[in-house]
Amino acid sequence: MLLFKKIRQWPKLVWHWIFLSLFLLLIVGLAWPSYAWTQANVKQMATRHNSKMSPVIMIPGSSANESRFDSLITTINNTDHQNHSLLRLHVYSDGTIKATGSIRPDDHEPFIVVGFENNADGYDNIQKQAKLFGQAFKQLAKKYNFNNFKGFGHSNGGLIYTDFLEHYFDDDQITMKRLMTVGTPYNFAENSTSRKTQMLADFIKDRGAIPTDLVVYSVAGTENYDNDSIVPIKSVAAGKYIYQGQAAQYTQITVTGKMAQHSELLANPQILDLMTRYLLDPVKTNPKKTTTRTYHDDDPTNTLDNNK
Amino acid sequence: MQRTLVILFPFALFGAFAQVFAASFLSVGGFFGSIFNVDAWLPHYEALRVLFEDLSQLTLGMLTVAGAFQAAKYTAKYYHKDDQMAGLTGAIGYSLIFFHHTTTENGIAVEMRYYDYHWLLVGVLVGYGVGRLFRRFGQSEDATAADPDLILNRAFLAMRPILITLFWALILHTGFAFLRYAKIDQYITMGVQNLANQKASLPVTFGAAWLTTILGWFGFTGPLAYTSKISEIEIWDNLDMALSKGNSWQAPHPYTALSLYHSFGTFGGTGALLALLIGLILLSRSRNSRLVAQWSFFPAIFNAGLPIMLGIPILLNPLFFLPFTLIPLINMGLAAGAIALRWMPPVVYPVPAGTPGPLVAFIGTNGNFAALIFGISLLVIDVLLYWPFIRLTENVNQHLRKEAV
Repeated sequence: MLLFKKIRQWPKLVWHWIFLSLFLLLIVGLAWPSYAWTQANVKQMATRHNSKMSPVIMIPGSSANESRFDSLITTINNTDHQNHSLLRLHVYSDGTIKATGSIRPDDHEPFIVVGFENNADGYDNIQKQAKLFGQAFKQLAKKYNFNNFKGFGHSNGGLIYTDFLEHYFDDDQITMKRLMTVGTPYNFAENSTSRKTQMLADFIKDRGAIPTDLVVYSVAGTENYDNDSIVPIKSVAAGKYIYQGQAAQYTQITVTGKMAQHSELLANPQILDLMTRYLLDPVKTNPKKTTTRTYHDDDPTNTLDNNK
Repeated sequence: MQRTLVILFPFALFGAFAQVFAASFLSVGGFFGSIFNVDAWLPHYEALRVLFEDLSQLTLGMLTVAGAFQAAKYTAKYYHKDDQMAGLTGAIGYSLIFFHHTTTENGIAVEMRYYDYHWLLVGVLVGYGVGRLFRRFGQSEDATAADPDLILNRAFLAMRPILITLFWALILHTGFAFLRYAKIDQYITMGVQNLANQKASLPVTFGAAWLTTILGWFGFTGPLAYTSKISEIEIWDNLDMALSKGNSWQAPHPYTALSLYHSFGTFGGTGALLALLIGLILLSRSRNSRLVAQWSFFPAIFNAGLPIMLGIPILLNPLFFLPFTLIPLINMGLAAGAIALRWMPPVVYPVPAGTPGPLVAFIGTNGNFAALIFGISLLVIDVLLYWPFIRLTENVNQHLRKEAV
């Protein structure tokens, strides 16, 4: 009690200094955890920023699973000799994820295929799958620290991508560079765009959330003059109401003839060509260094200066 | 008029406390939220945040409406008119001018943007106008005061000024609705921001900061809330370069708003008020000032400076105009000098919301200790700069009191 009384009799000046030192102590005390946080934060950002990985994240259509693109990817590897690695994710309806395959550490352009336990058709299932894909994407981004990626969706996979872009893709450190959808029925099985399904109407309503720097290719197949035996070309073409004018570029490509059936599209060499040309990053070929040149070079603008 | 604003002090204080808790402690992007991972261990943290946000929404968020009430009431009282009626009319009139609602699936959503403290000056002016209307058309105090039976009579007598207020408010409301319909209000805000969004040269950064502090002194920070959005391109440029190089020394735009104003000009909110608070607590002879300063200190650590603006008051107080608008600029000048002399790197990395003032530069330079020491020294310098003005204010107040006696 006596001590307490004594303390209360301290002059104001002492109180002021106690107050001031408490404040300084607080600032300095907070400085240490701040230091740890900012170091970790900047390191993570730098890792992402300087990452060279640019995966292709693929979503198969309804009733297909994460192995749907296996043969497609094998063919791509046989063609461009880049030895892309392949990671398959199986997303259960409760959000847990099972992975098969792996990403080679030095692979700049791996393929990641995301399949769902609930791979049923229908708008409400698409919405569920888009939400699950959003969760899987977050985990992928956290684990592999890429700063950009490309998307590929076959059939309803393109719908899942669209729903994902409009509602679950909000990472400002990651850019989606390109999206290619193949045979994606933006208006389901409707033959005419004057009858908009609920899904298309929703997609158009929320299109403002689609990144404006995204380049989109929508590929349609036609066996006859109006469908690929499953999806009407009018439904694929309805994608323009979602992406055109919102995304940086929107290109519509139609593949016809043999192997333009909805499910065969993935084995179609033309699609393969479109993928390597538009979706994948251009293959860097080391130009052969020639030390001797003749007048008969292919390029007539060549100079004869060989010392360069 | 300042006296009317002092009434708002407790609301601003509680609002500021709630805001600090919501923004700094309970949000994922906030200072404590990021550093101590609050969301990972605190149960129901989101619900708690919503609670505090609600509290701040109805105090800070409605402050301008309350300001209109006070201004109208005080003006009417000054002219010996029915002040209660005037106050209510002022508050409703202001609300009506900026009322905007949209029907949603669950009912009606009202836009609150123009009711919060950023627009205090507008609210006070509207309230003053309503008070003047009551002076011309209202009944005098003694006619309204006494008899409880006459209360209805009192209401009828106030009919005319109320009608006139509502009429004009409705006209302004319609005009504003047209502006909003044409999205002109957004264009203006964007235009102002684009104007400030030029290359982050020294004059632009300083000019924009000065404009912000001057408007802040008037209590009007609406369209020019000098956010980090301004000069965003430079900030991204800087971050891009710093992440590639691994440090921020070679940032292409060293004198951005983030680097100077947000890191060194806003300790304790607009006007570097944290220094004033320390000065008041240490040096003030007035018990009231010290009390106000002590209460306002906690939110001010996290840069919520509104309580002290109303409590002392700083708002529209000519004695504090010079330090309030110039000390942030002096800080920025010294910081620019320190960056130019390469004592410390420019601030380029992201800083969580609600970071205590002197720590902003420390975090934003990825933990550069020179920046921390520099920040604390600036605080000391600011206290010394505010000192003469604290003394001046006290002397003037004493003089006024003597004169009154």
